[in-house]
Amino acid sequence: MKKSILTLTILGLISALLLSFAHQLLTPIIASRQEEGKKDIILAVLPESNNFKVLEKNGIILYEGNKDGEVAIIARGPGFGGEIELIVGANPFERKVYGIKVLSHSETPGLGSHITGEVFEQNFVDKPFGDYQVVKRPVADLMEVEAITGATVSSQLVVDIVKKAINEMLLAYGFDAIAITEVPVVTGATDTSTGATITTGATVTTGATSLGGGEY
Amino acid sequence: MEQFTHILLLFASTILVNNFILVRFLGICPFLGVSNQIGTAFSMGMATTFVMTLTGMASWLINTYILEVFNLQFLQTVIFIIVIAALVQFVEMFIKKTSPALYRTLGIFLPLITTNCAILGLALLIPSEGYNFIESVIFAFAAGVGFTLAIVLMAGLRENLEFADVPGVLKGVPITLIIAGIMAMAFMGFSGLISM
Amino acid sequence: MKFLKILKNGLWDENPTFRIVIGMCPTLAVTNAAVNGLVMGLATAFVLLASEIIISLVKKLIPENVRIPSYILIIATFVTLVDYILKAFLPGVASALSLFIPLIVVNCIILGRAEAFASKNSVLDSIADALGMGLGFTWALLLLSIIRELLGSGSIFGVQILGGWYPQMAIMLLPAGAFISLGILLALMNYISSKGVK
Repeated sequence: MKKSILTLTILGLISALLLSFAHQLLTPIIASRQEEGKKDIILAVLPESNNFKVLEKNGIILYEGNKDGEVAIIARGPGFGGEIELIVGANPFERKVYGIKVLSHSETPGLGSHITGEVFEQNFVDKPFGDYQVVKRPVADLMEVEAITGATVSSQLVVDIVKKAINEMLLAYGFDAIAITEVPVVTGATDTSTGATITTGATVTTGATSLGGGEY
Repeated sequence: MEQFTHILLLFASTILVNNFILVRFLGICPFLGVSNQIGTAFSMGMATTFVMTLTGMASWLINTYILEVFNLQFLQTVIFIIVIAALVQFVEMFIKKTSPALYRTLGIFLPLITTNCAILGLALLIPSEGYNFIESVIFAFAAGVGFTLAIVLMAGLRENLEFADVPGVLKGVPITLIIAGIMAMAFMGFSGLISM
Repeated sequence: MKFLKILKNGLWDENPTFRIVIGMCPTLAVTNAAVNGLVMGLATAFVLLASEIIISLVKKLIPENVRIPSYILIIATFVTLVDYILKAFLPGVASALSLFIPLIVVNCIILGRAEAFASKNSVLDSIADALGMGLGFTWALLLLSIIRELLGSGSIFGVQILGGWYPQMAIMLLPAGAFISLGILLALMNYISSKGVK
């Protein structure tokens, strides 16, 4: 019996020592990987900047690129399968969007998951600010966004988040928000905090700082 | 009221939308191994649900009062698996002493539960989803119920399969996997039902 | 040569995935992309190797009644190490595999081999067993994930093979596709070995 306890204790101690050593050694590397990943994503939506600084205006976190006027903002909102988190690169002075990147989502694989694809993202490249409408055909003008086939809801929800993010950015820089129409989208999904069916106009949070998960 | 709705939705979504076996791929070994008779499947499910609920509580308590307080998250996996192994030992001894009848039905499955990836998976999911205590317990219990549901459904199907003429190469695990695939497809219908 | 015989055993005769059918959870969960299957297989093989070596070395020192908890402790330590190493050097794959790296601890293959082999055999033989079983598991995962990635995304290791004409079968990337592909693959393996017997 004594030997059993001794064996387990010794093993336990060796394990704890080994792991705490590994933890000390590797955590800085892990952290710097996450920082790099984050940097890459932000620069991906700021066309001419090669560096940025993190600012806080009116409680909203913004990433200002070193090229004048280029700003990125992270926003989250409800998607069809779960929360969608994306980053929008834009210029609040020239009032145009440079592009977006979806950071995380739980949309249906093969359908809604195409929101991360180049084809859908192309909708937002060099796009003037406005009240975008989702259409189910090739776009006729720059105020339209072409929906993903079989994923109109996911497409609409992404567009809503983008519009709200743009407004948050405008407000942060002291401009007026643009008027946006709220298209009621009944996804059948239920917002668990209120028990009500989600319609667009549900809370979109901006300035979220989570980029690259992990908590080590 | 809000809290209650939230809990109820967590319960339902863990059983259906994020079913541990058919969606999360946790607990496949017992799912394939113990699902050939409804009776045994149900017993396994019950034993697993019991251990899962206890594990859920333990996971939250350990994470909140030990791991986070002392900054020991790197020992999470090691500590959790030891606790699970110990928990299963105690549960087995407890059932043996208090109800020999129950021990005869459930007892044999208990040691197997230690290596059931659903248990450790559950323990690890709780801190990563950031549930509070009540949510953790409900989540754990619902995970067990979902597990039991899937395994019993499979057992029912396999019992009927005994009377079917299954081609030689498909007998046993292959046909079970294909059935599981079709069940998983059916469960896909639940996605989008509840948005957490 | 005994070493080679033990090695071959793990790779084919008693292949953990196709013959003994254990370690199913990761097999189904992470094989949606070839790189994920490969890394998971190698990570598991590493843990298996390290654990079998240590356990074979200390087998005489561990009292009978704490055998299993001791093995679990040793295995869990190596799993945590692998988790950290992957997060530091392969963060993309680490986040794709997420939960399933720590779950290597309860992969029946590892505890099974520790108990059945390493605790009763020499270190050299244990190395052979670990390599055989570990690589056997890896090639099984690799095969399944290449099939699923090819059919599901039209690519292998991220390299697009099937062009735009191919309607990607998204189901292959989902749980349902995993179950069905593995089922068909196992049936095929059964067929191949039954042919061999004749």
